[in-house]
Amino acid sequence: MAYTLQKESFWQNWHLTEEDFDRLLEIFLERGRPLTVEEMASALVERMVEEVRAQSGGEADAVYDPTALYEVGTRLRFPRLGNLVGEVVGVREGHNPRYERFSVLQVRFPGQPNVREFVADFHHLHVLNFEPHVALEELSADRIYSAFGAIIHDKLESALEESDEFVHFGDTWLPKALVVDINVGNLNIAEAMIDVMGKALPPEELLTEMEISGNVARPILIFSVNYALAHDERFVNRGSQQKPLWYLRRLEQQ
Amino acid sequence: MAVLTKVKPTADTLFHIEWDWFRRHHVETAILLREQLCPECRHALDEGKLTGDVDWIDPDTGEVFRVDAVREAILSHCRWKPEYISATTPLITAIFRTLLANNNRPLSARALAQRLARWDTDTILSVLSRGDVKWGIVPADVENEA
Repeated sequence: MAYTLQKESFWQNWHLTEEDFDRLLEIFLERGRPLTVEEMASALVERMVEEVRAQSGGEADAVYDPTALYEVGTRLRFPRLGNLVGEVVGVREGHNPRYERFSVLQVRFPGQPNVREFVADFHHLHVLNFEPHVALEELSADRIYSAFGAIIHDKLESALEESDEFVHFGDTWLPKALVVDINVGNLNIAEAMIDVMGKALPPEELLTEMEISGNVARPILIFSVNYALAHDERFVNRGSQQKPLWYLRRLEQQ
Repeated sequence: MAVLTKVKPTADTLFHIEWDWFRRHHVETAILLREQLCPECRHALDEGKLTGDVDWIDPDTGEVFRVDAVREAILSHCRWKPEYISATTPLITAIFRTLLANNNRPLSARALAQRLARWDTDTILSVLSRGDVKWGIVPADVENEA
């Protein structure tokens, strides 16, 4: 998997799964604020790299190389098996008339009942589809995002737009489950405030008079107000998406 | 003949060759496997050169599997020939040969369709799931009655 994350073909064929959406939700819960697509994409890649590292199964003495020969007791990391680490428990002579002498390692992996065998001291590399192994230390989320960020960004954005589980205001997104419900009463308060002040107001100022219970992170509250106002025909944004200023449509028409 | 009655397979149900099926139905696997060999390996078999068990090396992982010499010949040699699965190979033969070439690691109808571009998933699933078991190809997690 470590090597796979560094291949363009992986990202070209990548489609968000339920697992990825769960990862995104965790990211939002950790960050406690709305995120741009770029922030989400970068965080998602970081999370995937962390998971690969966590799955590596502990420290190994060496990375498995089919041309090398290892002693019993050696712990090997197998990049082509998702970086599983197993211990060599036996070595035997290999038998295949097509090839010169080679050895076979008998390897035990944690949680697997049967010993698995791998070729060793094997020098017919044309037979193998081995790519250069990727040491876990070389696996970098920054490097992956730098190389494939555009692809990841576009795919994530498309998936978010098609999903019912995420909403956006401007260029920031939030899981629908985290959006605070701004009820009709609070919307009426916002309308009255703008009416009285006679000018466009930022969401922070509108919040001061709204009655919203619960201990919610402020960035999420502000997003929720902006989202609610954007979806209420009474209100129009006179500012920018980044710095909204809410006014009343009927006052504009006067 | 065994009938797939216990499970309704889907496009993602994994199928493999259950070698015991041949024993239960008194079908000689040796004869069937010989027919899957290329002419060169068939000749080698007839001359007594493909005998015993051999270490086959998975080219993608380096993992070693002990298989009989006939299956090793298919895995290492015959499967790469263009005539192994050609435009005239019947579907069930093509499925059987694809599973052999995959070292009998289970494949779904969907995965088989990706490898056998001539047939779609529904056609392959229909052949594998309707009627009697063919050539021992059964869902990978189901025991079939004799």
